[in-house]
This record gives sequence, structure tokens and C-alpha cells, in this order.
Amino acid sequence: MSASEAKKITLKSCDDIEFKVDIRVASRSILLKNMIEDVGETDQSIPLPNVNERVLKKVLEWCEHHKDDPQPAIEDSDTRRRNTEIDDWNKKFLEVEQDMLFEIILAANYLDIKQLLDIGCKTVANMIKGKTPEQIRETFNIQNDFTPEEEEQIRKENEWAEDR
Amino acid sequence: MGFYLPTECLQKILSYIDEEDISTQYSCLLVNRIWHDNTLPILWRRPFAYVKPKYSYKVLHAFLLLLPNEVKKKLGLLMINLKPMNNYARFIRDIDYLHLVGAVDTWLASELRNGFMNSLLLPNGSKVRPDSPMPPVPYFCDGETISGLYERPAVTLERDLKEQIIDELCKLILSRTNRIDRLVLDLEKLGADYVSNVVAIPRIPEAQISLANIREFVCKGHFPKEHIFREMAKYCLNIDSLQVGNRLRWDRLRWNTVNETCSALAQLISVQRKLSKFVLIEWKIKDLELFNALKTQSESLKHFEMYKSSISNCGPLVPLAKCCNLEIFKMDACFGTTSAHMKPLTYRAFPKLRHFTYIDTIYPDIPEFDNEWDPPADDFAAIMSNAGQCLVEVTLGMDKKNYPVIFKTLSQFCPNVKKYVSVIEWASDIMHLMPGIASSCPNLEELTIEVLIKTFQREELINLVETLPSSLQYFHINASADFFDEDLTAFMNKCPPRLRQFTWLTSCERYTQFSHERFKEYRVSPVLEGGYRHHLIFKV
Repeated sequence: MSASEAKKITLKSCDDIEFKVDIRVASRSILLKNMIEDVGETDQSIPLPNVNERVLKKVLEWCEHHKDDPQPAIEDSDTRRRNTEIDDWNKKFLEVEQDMLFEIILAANYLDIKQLLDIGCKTVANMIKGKTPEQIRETFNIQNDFTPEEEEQIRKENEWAEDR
Repeated sequence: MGFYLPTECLQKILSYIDEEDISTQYSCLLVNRIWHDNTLPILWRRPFAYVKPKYSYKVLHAFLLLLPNEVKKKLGLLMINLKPMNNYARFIRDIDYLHLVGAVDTWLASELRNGFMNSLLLPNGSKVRPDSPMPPVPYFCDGETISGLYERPAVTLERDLKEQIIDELCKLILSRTNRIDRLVLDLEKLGADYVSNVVAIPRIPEAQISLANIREFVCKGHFPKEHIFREMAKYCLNIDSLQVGNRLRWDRLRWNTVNETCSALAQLISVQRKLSKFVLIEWKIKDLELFNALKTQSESLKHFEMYKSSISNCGPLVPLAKCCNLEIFKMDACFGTTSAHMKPLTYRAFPKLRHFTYIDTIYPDIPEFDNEWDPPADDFAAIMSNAGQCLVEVTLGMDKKNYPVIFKTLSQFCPNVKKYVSVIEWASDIMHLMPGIASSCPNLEELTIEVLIKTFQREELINLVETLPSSLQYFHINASADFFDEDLTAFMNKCPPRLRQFTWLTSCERYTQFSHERFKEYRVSPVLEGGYRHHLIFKV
């Protein structure tokens, strides 16, 4: 057994299921990485109150697959053209029910796993592209809270952007 | 269950909608209030850049509604007390003067059709027609005349109104937004006699805040720039990319301001904290002041580019040699460049230099330089050899006799050149160069041939294919090539084994002679370019 394999920590989901995880895998999460660096190696499990077993399992599957990837560079949030391509493995990984997709995004956001958050958000963005407002509402079960007058004014003032 | 992601995630999702995809952004705007509030800053960041030109007047309308009532009255606008739902101007991050001019043009054309301006009165109360002449006026900014630099000639009332609207728009945007990232003052396409108060933009009081953090600044065209540079040097310290073009040059000089403009530009460069890209277009440099200014950016400067500019009187480029982090070096149509200029650059290694361009192939529109000129090929070779393994991209366009020393250098010191662009006058020239390119760049993956004058004959192209390096994956010819069905087959049989894509131009007439079967067989995708030629692509 190599030295790196020996270094493991235990993560506990909000429904009290424990996962023994290689530190290198857990360190894909900046939250966990910082925590491990602060407290050092510990036998005590780290509770993750915002992530349930089902989602944590899935997130750890992603971390395991990407454990050797370089940490992403800090990106300018105003970059004009952003790459929305997703590689085949990640695309397949995110072929899940919409609820699960959102749970993964929330977990990636909470655990600070930038690349997973990015591909999750890209996946949702790709679901939005080319849809009408009604189709977007239907896809994500969103309630329209505009008054008819407001909606009409927004349409009018932004009609230059409407595809014709 | 609904969309329960927090706002920060929604913002990230929306950031992945392509900025040009305004139609999807429009849909997002109408989903609900939260989506609306988070989409507005994206949709209205650069509205004039992405709106279809015929609808740009609708964008403009939203801004005109935001103007103060007294300004609306002054401009004769019939929208007093009307306000839009949102302060759209505060989301603007990009000002391109040409886009504003285009939008105002479209808007005015539509308003004039509707009888707008029929009721306009001059200050003396007399009625005027849109084509009534307005007297000459001096440029002036913020109550202060710019020292007789330039006087606007007489224009029509319509033109006068147009300029007033543009001025008011600039004031509005600069006062409502707190941060402009990109300012483009490129009036080149507007013609030499276009009059505008573009000079006044940096002197608008609110500009000191909104323009303080611009990252990209483009300033080109037929207007005096000295005051712009001087003013911006006071508060724009974070420019990352600076592109300057000056048509006030050489024999077309209308104002004797080149020296002053050069000094002002040098001042603007010197005050920057981290300039990484500098592009100079159509500029005559008389001394080293500009290069000394660039020396102050030696740590950050990565991209240096000159196009149709002359350094013939400025002496050795010693200051530029200090910019040791250069990654991209381009000189295109910079005639009069000698070994004396370039020698200092050969004494200093540019270890990060990955792109080198030098083109002096004849440009028919520069009559000053139609005589023979020998570029300092030995010095270019020395620069490339110092870059060594880092060099991956080379663009060259010179007389044939200058290439041997370059090819020898590339083959000895630069094994990683993957991309080569050859700029030639005649298609037949490439047959002389190709053996040198192939032997000096054994790992070449992408080859582009730019032909300035002549088209490729079918035999020339087939012969050329046999000389292509075996590592080649992409081959582009930016010239017309007369190719028939059988030529395509001959090309396919002889092309390098790894070739994945070949693009060339062909006339519509030739295009029709290809059979659809052949297109299908080689996955040819025709793309209309310039309305009279088809650009064909196929993947092998």
C-alpha cells in the first residue's frame, strides 16, 4: 500500500452515512482541503450537513475520477466568450434526473469544487439555450411572478433581443 | 420541485449563455423576477454589439428615455416624462463609438420618416429643415475650447442633431455606469471628414470614475488624439490592451500634431500599471519616446505589434529589448526596418517568444514604399534562435532571397514550430519556399498560404500537395484555387496522411462544377464568403 493510499479521512453525510475517502480525492473540494490543512489528519469524521448520502456518493465518484487533474486557474468572471463544451465522461456523469443535477450543483457549490460546479452549470445552461420563456419555466417548473403589465413592458423594452 | 438553486448558481448558469445569444438571454429575462434581475446585467452589457443593426434604434430608444427632461427638450424628443422600467445604462460595460453612431443613424432615419424635426426651431425662433446648414463650431469640452486644434465645419441640422444625441448618450452612459471595461473610439470607417466630438469623451466629468478601469482601449481614425491620451493618462491606469491607429500621417496630415500625439501616447503608456498588449497601426515614429514608454511596461508586455507603421527615423530599438516577457512580436508592412533598428533585440533573449511575424510583401496602397527593401533577415533569425524551443508560430512574407537564413535557424533551434503562415505575392512563389518550410519545420501541424495577387492554378496546387510536410493536419489557402472534381480526388490521393482539414477559396462559377457526390464523399462544407466566393472545407 502506498503512502498516499494510506491517508484517508471519513466524511459523514447529513443522513449519517460515513464514507472513507482518500485525502487526494477529498482535496478536490477546496472546503475539505482547507479543513484538512487546518486540523491535520484526524480519525474523527467530518460532518457534511448539506449533502445526503446519494449526492455525496455521486460527488465522490466525480472527485475520484478527477483526483489527478490540476487545480483550475482563477478565471475572470467577465470573460466574454465562455467555453460551454463538456467532455464525454462529464456529460455522461451528469445524465441524471434534474433534482440530482441541482443537488450536485448545490453540493459542488457548498464543497467548493469549482470544476464540478462549472460543468453542472454548463449542463443547465445548455438546457436553457434556444428555449422560449415558457419552455424554460416548464423545464424547471418555475412560477411566472410578473404581472401581465410588467411582462408586456419588459417585452417591449427588450424586444430588440428577441429572435426574429 | 421547482428551480431552487441559489442566486449565485443562477448567475453562474447565466454566465454560460453565450454573450452573443441575446435571444436566449431575452427568454431568461422573461422567466420570473429573479431571472430577470440576474439576466439584465448580461443582456445590457454590450447591447449595440449584438443587436441586429436594423433593431439598434430600439436599444437607443431605451437610452433616450433615460435622458433628463431638459436634454430631451433640447433635442426635440417627444418623450418627456417617459421613463423605462430599468436604468439600462448602468449595465453597460463596453462603449464602441461606431456602434453608437450606427444606432443613432438608424433611429434618426426612422424618426425622420415619421416627420420628426418638422417642428424644430433655431434659437432665433425660425423654423428649419433637416438639411439646413449649421455654422462651423470649435470643438469644446466641458466649457473649455480645445485651443483651436480643430474646428467642425458647417454641417446640416440633421448631422448636428446626430452629434448632439451621441454626445448626450456618451454623457448618460458614463454617468450611469460605474465601470466601462472596453472603450473603442475607432472612426476609421466614418471617413476622413467625419466630424464628431469624440475628443470630448474622456473629459466628461463622470468619465474619471467610469473609465478609470478600462482594460481595453482602441483609438483609431481621422481625429486628433493628443487630448484624449493626455486626459486618459490622468486616470486610466489599468489598461491591459492598447490599440492605436493614426490616419493623421505623412502626406495626408491635416494637423501638425504627430509629435505631440506621440508624446501624449507615450505618457498614456508610461502611467499604466500592467500593459500586456500594444498594437500600433499606421503610425510614423520619429524617435524612441514611444519605445522608452514601452520599456516602463517591460515586465507585463507580452504582445507587441506594428502594422503599416514606420520606424525608419527612430534609431535602434534598445528600449524594446528590455521587454523580456514578450510572447508575440509582429511587424506587418513596417517598411524601412533595418538591421540597425533590430540589432538590440538580437542581443537579448526573449525566452517566452512563441509567435513571430514579419511581413513586408508589397501593399499596393502604400505608394511610399513601392521600392525594393531588404529586411534584416539575419536579425530576425537571431531573434528566433534565441526564442528556441518556445517558438511555435511563425508568419513570414519577404523576398525569396531572405528565407535561407531563417529556414536554417528554424531547423537548428526551433523544433516546435507547429504553425506557419506564408505570405506571398504570386501563387508560384510557394513552390520555391515549400521545401524550405517542410525541412525547417518537421513538426508543422498547420500551414496557411496567403496569396496577395494571383490565384492558384490546378497544376500548381496538385504539385504543392506533394511537398507538404507529413505532420500537417490543417492546410489553408487564402486565395482562389481553380479546382475541379478530379483535382479534388488527385489532392486526396496525395495529401499528407494526418491532414484533417483543407480550406480554399473558389469562385461561384467553379463551385457549381463540383458534384454533390464529391462533396458528400469528402465532407465538403461550402461557406459563403464575401458574397462572391465559396470557402470550402473538408475533413479527411
